[in-house]
Amino acid sequence: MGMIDPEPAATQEPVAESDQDGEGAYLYGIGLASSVAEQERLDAILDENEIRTVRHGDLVAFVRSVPLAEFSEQSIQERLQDQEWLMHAVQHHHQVIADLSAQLTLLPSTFGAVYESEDAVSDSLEANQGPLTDRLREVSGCDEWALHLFRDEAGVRERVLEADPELQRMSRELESAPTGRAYLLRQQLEKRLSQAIEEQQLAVADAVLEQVEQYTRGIQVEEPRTGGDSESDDVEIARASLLVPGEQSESMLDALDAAAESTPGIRVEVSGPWPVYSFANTETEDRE
Amino acid sequence: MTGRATSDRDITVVELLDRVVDNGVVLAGDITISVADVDLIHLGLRLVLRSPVLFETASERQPESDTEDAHDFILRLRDPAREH
Repeated sequence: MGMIDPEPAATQEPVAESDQDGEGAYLYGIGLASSVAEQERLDAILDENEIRTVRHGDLVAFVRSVPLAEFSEQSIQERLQDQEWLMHAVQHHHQVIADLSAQLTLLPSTFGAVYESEDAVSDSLEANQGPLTDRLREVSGCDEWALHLFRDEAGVRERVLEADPELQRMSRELESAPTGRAYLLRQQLEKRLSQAIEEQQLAVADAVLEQVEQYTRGIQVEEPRTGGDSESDDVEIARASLLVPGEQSESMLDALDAAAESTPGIRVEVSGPWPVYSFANTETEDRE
Repeated sequence: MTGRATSDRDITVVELLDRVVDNGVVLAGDITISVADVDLIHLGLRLVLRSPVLFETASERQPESDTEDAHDFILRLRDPAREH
């Protein structure tokens, strides 16, 4: 080293990566490089969508270079007002993931995740190589199926009442009771009835899941959505995501059909095959 | 089984949003607000669902883009159980 710093500019450098004008890496997912079905088709998908790969060992991350400014908090807030943009972005995200999933074992990324640089993605792959590889092996060869169970509202009270001797007794007593007592009895009856309906739907959901479990490698039970977007009067009583090996999907669907037919008052909805969104999350750590 | 009160497409769009927004692998070092403010994005997307027309026009206006493909893909996903 001489008296004069050979690279004076270096001290002014660290603007680039974190700068809002810089480029970030939008992550689509992380795959197992050794599981690629047809490299040419994979390359075509990458070309078409301007996707680059970041490798670490057998792990490969699929990223696209995006202006960081577009993903700043302020821009995101603005974009959220633009529903058309948002829907298009979600569809594109999904389309890329679905195409990639057809070519290799992939853990889909959550929507809208941008990293500071490809190096940051690479560091994270390195730091989480173990859990990511384990999870990839678990989902290998599997699709995700979305399952919803709905209770047919019409007639549900009658069905539960018919099946419960105690409720029938209360119901008969109510018919012949004087007004004041009838009021109390009715309250009791309603309370017991809604309890019985709740218990019955839990039992039904358990029974349906039990019938498909043997065809799955994983089941994630989720909270049913109450009210909301549906115009249907039917009440969603259970929802679950199923991780199903490709060769088992027919049997799984048959089992669901059978379960639906043998359970009166229940409607089963299933959609898929989906990329394994609901089974992609691992506990990841910072490099530190 | 009873009739379907919502259209297949609506169901699948809801399904898609549930999957891509709430789920997926998250690596340390994500710098966007998508994780911290997931509810905000979810809320924005839920609003889209109340305007099914938007969903249609988005693909119709850009027929050569990947929007069309994405749209087709979603339609193809409709109730695959029925095909068997």
